[in-house]
Parts: sequence; structure tokens; C-alpha cells
Amino acid sequence: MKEFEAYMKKQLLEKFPSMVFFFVVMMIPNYGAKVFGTFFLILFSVASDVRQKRLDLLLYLPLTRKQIFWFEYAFLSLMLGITFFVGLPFAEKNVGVWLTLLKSLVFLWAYLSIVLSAVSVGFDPFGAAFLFLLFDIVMGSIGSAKLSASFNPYKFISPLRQESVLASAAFAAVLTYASYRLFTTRSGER
Amino acid sequence: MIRVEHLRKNFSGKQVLSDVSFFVEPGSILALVGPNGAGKTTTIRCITGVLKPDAGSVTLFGERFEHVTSHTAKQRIAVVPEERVVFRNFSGADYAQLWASLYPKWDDSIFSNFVARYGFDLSQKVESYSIGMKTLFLLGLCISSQADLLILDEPTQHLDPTIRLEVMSLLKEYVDGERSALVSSHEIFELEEYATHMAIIKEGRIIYTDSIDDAKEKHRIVEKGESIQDGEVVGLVGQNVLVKASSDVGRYPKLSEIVVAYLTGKSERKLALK
Repeated sequence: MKEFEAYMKKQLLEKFPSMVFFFVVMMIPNYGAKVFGTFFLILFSVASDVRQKRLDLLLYLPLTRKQIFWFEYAFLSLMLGITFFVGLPFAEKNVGVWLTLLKSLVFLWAYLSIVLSAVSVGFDPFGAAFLFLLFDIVMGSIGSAKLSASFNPYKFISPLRQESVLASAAFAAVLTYASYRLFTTRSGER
Repeated sequence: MIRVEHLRKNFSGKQVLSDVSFFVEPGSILALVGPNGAGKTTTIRCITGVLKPDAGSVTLFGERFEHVTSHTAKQRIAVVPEERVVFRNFSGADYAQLWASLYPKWDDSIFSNFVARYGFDLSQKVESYSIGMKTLFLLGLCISSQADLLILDEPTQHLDPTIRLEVMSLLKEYVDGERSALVSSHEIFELEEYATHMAIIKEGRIIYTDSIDDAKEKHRIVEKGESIQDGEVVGLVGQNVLVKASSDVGRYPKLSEIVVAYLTGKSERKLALK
């Protein structure tokens, strides 16, 4: 717990000035706003640490790769949760609002996994995030979710579109597992 | 304390470490010396878990490093990395708080004395300190952590001459019977003052490792014109030759002469003898 508190403090002290705008955006009780804020929150979090060679600083401290991986998930999920609850009084009171939280978390886990996987194999995390976003937008928009000649199953698992929240959550879980394996077994030197 | 065996690492096909093996005993300061690009910093990054070695093993406190969790091993190691990159928005006080929460043996009184002794402003961002002050501040954090093993990459670089002397004596005091240090440095003249052991690294390979006293005992400097009855020629040191011999020839070498002779190597020796 002490390690997580230290990690939280480090991330807040280091990142708050660049993240504050996106925190405010994420308070808007709307999936689009949350996705927008979350995407940039990921970029300004561990991705920017890697870009500025500051991930090593954490690894020189008594923190393992395993801890850094889960702390990052926990930290960003917590930020998403906090902004959701701050914005909750302004949201419509129905089940959809909770679905927005779930969908935003699925989006966060999937995209964070992509960024952490990219970091682990030595790719540029910013480039990887934008490329995957482009892929996700294109793949998620072509074809149909209905059984027909243009049926596109990707629509179901797309972290952005999420035709099926369950399928997208399962896809995010697979991505999380893969990125965990990569992040803890490869050092991704650049 | 720490045993490194046959460590290998390559970056994009370039072999940076080909065979790195050494041992740091409790109560000792091992100096890892070698030219730029020899693999000193890569070795340190592999030992601290920043990089994954391609082969070989690192045993810390009796346990293979990959099996050790942060609680059992990383809390016992404190590092001053080569690039004095620091967290941008952290003040000195923030740094102290972070280290205090991560190192269970953190000693606040040692840190306070260190801060007072060198006049650090803890409310100032560490990023804004001069490079020398950053080095000194990171050393202060390491010493206050009371970690069992200090890993210091060029710990006296950018320091004033008087502060260098103080740092050297601080390190000697810190390493008692229980604790030890691994120091990577180019400052071969300084190392003689505080290191107890050495490992010479060249082109990613440890070419010689020993205690400094034993190394001096096993080698002789033979001057130009003197005959060598037995012993193995190691390398040139200016106009003189370093030989590995137990017989009473020449004179005992300095640490710097041993390092230079080993790094000079065979090819240059041949050239000089022509």
C-alpha cells in the first residue's frame, strides 16, 4: 500500500499540471468526453514517462515492473472513477450512466494495454496509441454488426465502439494480459 | 552480497555485454572501471532490473534476482544513475518523502544532517539544482536510505574537489561489515582512495577482477631496460610494462597502472615493442 501511495503521489505531482484539463473534460457525464479525456490521460501518464526516459527513474526505486504495471492501471482507473463521481450529480439518473462508466473503463484498459505493450517492445507509445486509435476508428466503422454480407465482428470488440460491452471487456482483458506479459518480461530498450 | 555471472546483453544485434562476471563481498566497494561504451552502465541497468539481460544471472543477497520481489531485494538497493535525470516537479522535500516511504530503513536524521551540511534548499525543485548538486543530493538520498547495497554510477562526477574528498570518506564510512557498494567510474586515481575491489570491463567483458590489494601483490611494473625472468606481460603503462609475476622484480603498481595496462591490451603492446 505504501508503494501505491508513493506511486500515486509521484504521478499526481509530476502529471497534474498536464492532466488537469483532461480531468475537467472527463467530468462531463458523456461517453465521448470520457473517451477523449482518457486517451490523453494515458498519453500524459506512463507513455510520456517512457518518452522522457523517466520510467527508469521508477525502476531504480524499490518498485518492480509488476507493481508499476498494476499501479498504472489502478491510478488511471481511480482517476476515471473520481471524475465520474464528481460529474454524476449532473448526469441523467438511469442505468445508462453506469454503462458509461463501464465502457470508459473498458476503453481505458484496452488503450493502456496497447500503450504498455508498445513500450515493452520498444515502439513509440504515442505513435502506437494514435495508430491503434486510427485502426479502431476505421475497423469499427466499416461493415455491419448484423449478420449479413457486410458483417464485421470487430465492431463487437472494438474498445471505442463497443457494440457489445461484454465482448469489448473480454477483449480488453486479453489485451491487458498480453501487455502484462510483455511489460514484465521485456525491457523495451530504445 | 551480489554475484553477477556471465551476463550478456545486446541491443538491436549489437553485443554490448558479452561476458560480465564479478562478485561484491559484504563490506567492500567494488569499482567497475573501463572506457566509455565498455558496458558499465548497461551492467548497472541489468543488475537493477531496468534492463533484462539476454543471458547470465544476477544473484542478490543469496537469491536469483528474477525471483526476488521488491520487498526482499529492491528495498535493499539504492542507486545513483548515470544520467542525473530527476522527476521534474519534485522538490527536495518531495524526494525525501518518496524515498522515506519506499525504504524501510530510511534515516531522517542522516538526511537532515546531510541537507544542513551541504546547504540544500528542500523547497526548491531538484530539477533546478546544478548537475553537481543533483549528484550530491542523490548520494544523500542513497546514504539516508541505509540500503545494504549502493550502486553508484560516476558518484564523484561534477563535484567540487573538496566535496569529492568528503564523498569518498562518506562512502568508506558507509560501507561497514554489512553493507557494500558497486561504483562505476572513470576516475581511476580517486578509486584508489576508497575502493577495495575492482573489475575491469572492456568491450562488454570483464577482463580482470580482484581485490585491489591482491591485484597489486600479483603484479609488477618493470621499467624500460629491465629484464623479466618470468611472469606474463599484461600491457604497457607509458614506457613501462605491467607483468603478472610473484617474483621480486620491478616495483608494485598503482591501481591506475593496473587498469591502464589491462585496457591497453595486446595489440598496442605489440606495436610499442616493435
